[in-house]
Order: sequence, then C-alpha cells, then structure tokens
Amino acid sequence: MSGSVQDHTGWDENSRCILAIAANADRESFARLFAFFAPRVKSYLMRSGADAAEAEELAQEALLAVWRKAASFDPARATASTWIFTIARNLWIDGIRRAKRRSQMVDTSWDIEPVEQPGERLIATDTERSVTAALKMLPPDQVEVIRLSFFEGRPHAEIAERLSLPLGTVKSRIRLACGRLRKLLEDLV
Amino acid sequence: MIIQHHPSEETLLGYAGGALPGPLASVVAMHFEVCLACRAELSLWEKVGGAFLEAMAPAEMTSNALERIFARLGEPVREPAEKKSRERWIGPGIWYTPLVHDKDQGTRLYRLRARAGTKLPTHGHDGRELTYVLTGEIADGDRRYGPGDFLEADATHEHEPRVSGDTECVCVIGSEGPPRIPGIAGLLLRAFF
Repeated sequence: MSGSVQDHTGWDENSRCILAIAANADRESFARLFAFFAPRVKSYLMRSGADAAEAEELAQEALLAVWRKAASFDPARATASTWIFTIARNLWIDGIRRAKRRSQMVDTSWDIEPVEQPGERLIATDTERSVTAALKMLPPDQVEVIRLSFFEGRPHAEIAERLSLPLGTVKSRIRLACGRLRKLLEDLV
Repeated sequence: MIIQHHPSEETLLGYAGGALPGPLASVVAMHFEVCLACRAELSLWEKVGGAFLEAMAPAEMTSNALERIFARLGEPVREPAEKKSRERWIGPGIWYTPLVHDKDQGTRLYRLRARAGTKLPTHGHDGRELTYVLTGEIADGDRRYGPGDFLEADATHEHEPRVSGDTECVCVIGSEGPPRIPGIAGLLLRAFF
C-alpha cells in the first residue's frame, strides 16, 4: 500500500497529500491540505450564503471527511480540488440549518487568480487550470450569469430580473458561456 | 429504460454548484443514478467547481482551527439515524409518504403512489417542483414521462400531471413553497404537516 504513493509521483502536490493520508494517515500532509483548502471551502460556503460560523464549521466537516474518505480518492478520476469541492458541496446541500442563506447572497465577482506557470502542477489539474483560464477568457457578463446559475442556482427569469436584462439575453449568455466551457473541457478529457 | 426528459441546465448547474435545496437536489440525484448523459454533464461542472474553489480568495479560519480538527481526527463516524416514514392515503387513488420536510427552507421531499388515471396533487405556483418517475407513466400536457424521466415545474409553469398508462405510478417529488393543493388531497396533505 505505502509503495503506491511513490508510484504516483506524477500527481500534483494536493493529490499526493490525499494519497499519503490514505496510505499512512499522514498528519503533515493533512495539515498542508487543511491550510490550503479549509479557507477556500469556507470562502465558497460564505459565497453560497452561509454565515461565517456555519461556513467555518462546515469547512471543518469537509476536511474531516477528506481525512476519512482519503482511501476512496482516485487521482485519475478527479483532481484534489474537484474532489474536495464535491465533498463540501454535498455537505452544504445536506445541511439543514440554511434558513438565512437566501437573504445573505453576496454579490462579489470572481477572484480568479493568475494562471500558474506551466509545470507547476501536473496531469489532472491541467483541466482545472484550463477551466480557470477559460473563465478568464470569457467576457465578464458571461462569467456573471454562470456565477449566478452555479452558486445561487436561480432560475433564468430571476437572474434576468436581478440584472435588469431581457430573459432572452440571459439565456443566450448562459448558452454561450456553457458552450465555450464545455467545448474546452471536452477537448481535454 | 429510455430516458427522454432531463433536468434543465439551470437545475443541473444549481445542483453542481450546491445552490439547490437538499430535497430538490435529492430528486436530481435520483435522475443522475440512471442517466449517463447528465452524469457526464455534472462531472464537467464539478471540474468547474474545483477550479472555482482553487481560485477562490481564502477566508480566514479561526486561529485554533487546525488544532481543533487534529483533536477530531479519531472521532467515530456518526451515521445519521434512518427515519421511518409511513405511507398515507391522501385521496382517491393517491398514497403519500413524507421523506423530508425542511421547515426553515420550506422544502419537502416525498413519494407519491397513484393509480392509473389519477390527477396528481401539485404545489401550485409558489416555487419549483421537481419530479422523478420511478414506475408507471405521467402525462403533463402533451408530454409523457416514464421511469427515469425528470419532470420540472416552476412558478411560471402551469402544469396538471396525471397518471397515464395502465399501471400505477410511483414518483419522488421535491418541492419548495407552501402546498396549495385544491380538493381533498390538498386538505389532507396540509393536515399531515
């Protein structure tokens, strides 16, 4: 089992950390994952409408789940980021105490950081880096409708009302943005 | 199983990003179980989610967050207790099983079993209503929904689903907004909550 970690040196740093947890219950790897992901999971949950305390608690639960489920992580199928994102998302969906979330929708635009240098991460993260790059290439108005659909899951009619746009414009923006992202990702898979 | 009706893009995106309330997400998840095409689409959007997560500006964690989680690593996993719910008769030819009721969100998940020819009780115009067909067939307007199909109604959509075909229909419904169901079924449904 422990040998499999060495076999996976091609995986990116974050994936290697999860593999090390699975193989050796490696606390140092866990601390590194926690330092990177817990603040981002908290940020994601707050943007989705959780208050700071609830987001902190759920971020803790999400990282605890990473520790427990590390053995089921398959780096060939998903990157660490995608895997941890789905864990956090599912915890959020299952959360019962979300009465306040709709009233706390935050209206900040994406904080998309510059694309990393080539070679910094390998294999699976290429997809995510490309997604990030693609999002940067999309016009801001298309990213905005994607953001509203993705994080707040509002019907197109509500997005149109919120942005004071005709419904047709919202629909075509979403279709355009989805089409471009999908094309890019399908080319990669 | 030939699946003809899928979740809309807005519903799929809402699920992928975690914006869909739990009971509604449960119905979408049932469709994903049987629909490869939607699952592929979901996995694509989850990659987008992963990229978003990675690029997100970090929020500050409380100062002892790491110590607290280290203290919890050995905790036993608590499995949520399974709730038993009983099927109830709510009107001629219709049986109802409550599965989840989130009072804070005003959302519900329930199973309906209805005889052929029955008109299904719906939640009117106060929110989204997602239906997954397990067995039998539902007709809504000129559309037919069979096992595996996904039926989506929102506040702007007038719909009157009824059980078509010769057999009884079992479906799972996730809805938001208070029930506004006319007739005896609505009365009984309200009485049970």
